[in-house]
Amino acid sequence: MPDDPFDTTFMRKLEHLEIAFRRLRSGRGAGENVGKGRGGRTEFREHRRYTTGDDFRYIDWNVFGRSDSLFVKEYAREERRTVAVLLDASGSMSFGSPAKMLYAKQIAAAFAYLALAAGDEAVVVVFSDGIDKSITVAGQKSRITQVFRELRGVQPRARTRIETSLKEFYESIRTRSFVVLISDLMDSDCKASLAVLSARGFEPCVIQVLSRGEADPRQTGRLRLKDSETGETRQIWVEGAELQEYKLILNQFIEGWKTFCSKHGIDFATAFTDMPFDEFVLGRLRRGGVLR
Amino acid sequence: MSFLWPFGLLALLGVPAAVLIALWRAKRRDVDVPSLMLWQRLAEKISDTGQKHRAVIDIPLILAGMVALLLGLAAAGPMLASRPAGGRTFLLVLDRSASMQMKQNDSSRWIQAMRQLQKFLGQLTDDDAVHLATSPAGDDVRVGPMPPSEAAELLRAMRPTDRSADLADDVARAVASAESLKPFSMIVCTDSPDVLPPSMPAIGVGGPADNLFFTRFGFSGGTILLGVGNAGKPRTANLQLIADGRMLEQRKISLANSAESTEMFGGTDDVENARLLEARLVADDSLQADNYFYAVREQAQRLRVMLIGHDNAWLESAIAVHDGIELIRSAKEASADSYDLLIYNGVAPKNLTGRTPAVVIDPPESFGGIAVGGAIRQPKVTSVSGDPLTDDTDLADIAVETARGITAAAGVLVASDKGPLVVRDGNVLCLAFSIGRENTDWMLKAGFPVFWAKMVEKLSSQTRATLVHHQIGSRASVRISERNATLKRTKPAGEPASKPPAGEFVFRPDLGGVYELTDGADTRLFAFNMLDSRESSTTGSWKSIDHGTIGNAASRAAGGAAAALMLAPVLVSIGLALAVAQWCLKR
Repeated sequence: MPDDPFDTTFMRKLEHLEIAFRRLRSGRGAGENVGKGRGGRTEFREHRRYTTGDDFRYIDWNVFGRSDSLFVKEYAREERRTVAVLLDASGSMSFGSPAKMLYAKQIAAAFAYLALAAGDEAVVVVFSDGIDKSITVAGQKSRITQVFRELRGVQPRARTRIETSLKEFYESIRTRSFVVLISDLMDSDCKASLAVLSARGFEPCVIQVLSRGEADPRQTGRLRLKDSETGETRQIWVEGAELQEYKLILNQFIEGWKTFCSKHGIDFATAFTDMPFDEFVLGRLRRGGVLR
Repeated sequence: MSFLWPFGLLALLGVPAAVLIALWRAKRRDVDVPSLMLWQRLAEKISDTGQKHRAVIDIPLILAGMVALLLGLAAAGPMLASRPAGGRTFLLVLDRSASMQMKQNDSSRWIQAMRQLQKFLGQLTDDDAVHLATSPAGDDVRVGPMPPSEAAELLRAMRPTDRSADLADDVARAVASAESLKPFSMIVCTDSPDVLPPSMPAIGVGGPADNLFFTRFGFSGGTILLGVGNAGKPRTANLQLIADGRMLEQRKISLANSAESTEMFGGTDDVENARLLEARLVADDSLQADNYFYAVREQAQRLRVMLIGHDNAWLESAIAVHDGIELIRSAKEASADSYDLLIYNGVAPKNLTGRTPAVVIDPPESFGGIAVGGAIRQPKVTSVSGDPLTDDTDLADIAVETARGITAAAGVLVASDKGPLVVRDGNVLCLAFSIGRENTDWMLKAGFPVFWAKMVEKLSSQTRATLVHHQIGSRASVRISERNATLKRTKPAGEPASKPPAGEFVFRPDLGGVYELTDGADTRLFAFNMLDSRESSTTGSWKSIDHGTIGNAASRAAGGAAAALMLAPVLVSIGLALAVAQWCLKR
């Protein structure tokens, strides 16, 4: 993993993602994202008679040639959605090889890029024990560089308080939006907040980022484990049997999240940092539901 | 307890390794984790399984240690109760050649060898049997079997010799003589292990030689020639020449490494008349035995003449008047090797060796290539040959009444008008006439004993006395007449006298020097010297053996392996069972 998570290789991967994203979109029914309002520039809706004050650029000269009357073209105004990417930047995200933080940043950037590419507004929210930073970009996809710049400066810190952060988030956001929560979910009290978010019309999606070492630890013997966020320690003797038990608990933890998300109509996925992020994102896109 | 494969004990290193690993694992290590959330759940779940006691009593670890211990022991092939009844058999071949006396640092190669062998014998049990052989081989190629303790005693009584050894041959002979002992293990202890096959277990002793030594001796016309060699660092030494205990000359010689010089002395009456000539190299070198050289003036010996056949008083009387002739009578032919002359009187020789000269008087029948006919009366001597045997004897007026007719291709020494009277064929002289008063009056004349004295002396080819010496290892033969005869070494150091048996005595001393044989009033000296450059310059080389390996090899050879293997599967089985238990516990 390069030091800069947003280098040219990353950009190429985003472009590939965009192409794949377009193919997915083209397979959907026409007008799925077309709003009812007028005044847009990209999608033709109907002709109407020219009235004083209309922009000359919209006069359809072909129709004038055939009917000798002035008609202007009216375009459908596309509805701009908001894609909110909530990025966990707590201390636990600094673990793994490659680090979970790095991986999570790339996923966050990818979703932001795809949102811009679709003409949507992207809001990237960085949180730990509360919202640390929020970046809003819209318009051209080249504005993704602003997201990159902001994300580069994000360092894991403090402990995870997802519930507090989600609360701050939906109090601050104006419109209901598609919410992507990227976190290792090492916080026991956040499910209720997500359920509330879903109930209030948001479309949450949860992406759990874990490192392979976290999912399959190898260290055995007499260990004193230290929590990276709280500094709390716990002494434990670990052998093969204990490691098996740990994996079982981790699986139960993930399954618990899956069950919860399924129950509340929340899309859920677990990403391991040894999997290329673009494959992961594309895989999620192909399964549908994450981005429309 | 002993082991068939002691190297297998290296597997026991697995035990401390397992303990170290366990200690390392038992040492608490700090590990940072992203979150304790899941680990706390794990800790709560296993809190009832005795986590706190694991560091103290780690049963899987104990089992792992026991597995390593058992497998390590099994790999070494323990044979506590597997030694076959009757014990093992060893053949020890010990190099006793002169080079083993060489000083090596503060001890000698011989002492080093003794230490090694005593150490080895100390590891054997009373059930084991030891055969000893030496090189150079003694009269008995192999001595034994004997218990190790007895062999140790025998070794303590042994001394190195001044003789040279053909180690490879002696070892081969020892092996051949020990064929009936098989199976046995063999160990050779020598300072020259390189001459042995590489696979032969050998204890090598010694190191570089640092030695001056005599290489050769020559004596002619009163001049003495002595060769001196140097097998070590460049040296200066005094070379002394002593005649009958009196220093004749002393000179300083300097020799470079591996150099040899020739020193000449003499031309003096002292050398000519000395009974014992002695040369010494005064040097503090590795080996003293080759720093001495001795030569004795050989006295004229009595000639031994055997008279076979009829008695002849005239002949016996004529020979007996000479002090230097010893006459032995015999009715029949005996071994001719120890006589200087054989005289057949009235009988024909049946077994002429050709080496011992013979005189045949009045043979009754043909013998060898000489055909003997009937009697002829009153032969008249007509000529005398120029043979030295008869040159000085006037036979012209010998009156022979009867004689035998002889036809032969042999040289005619004295002829008669009726044919040859005295002929010679090689070492055989044939007198066709009988010597008896009834036939001739020759025996009454003064020339008769003179004739026989000359005959005995010339036919026996007795040479003049000279300075003589023997190479150590060769045999000296002497006839002992007295029961109280004594033999002792007088130089370079006196030793207690021994009593040689009367009669023919052959002796071959192990140590060089001057030996004095006193037989009644007669005293004879014998000089034995090394003069062996090979022994004097032998470079010793160290080669150690694993005594345990040799002993185990003997056990295998004696059939102990089968018994020893019985223990190994048991240990392996227990180890595997414990390993399975440990694996189950860890799960």
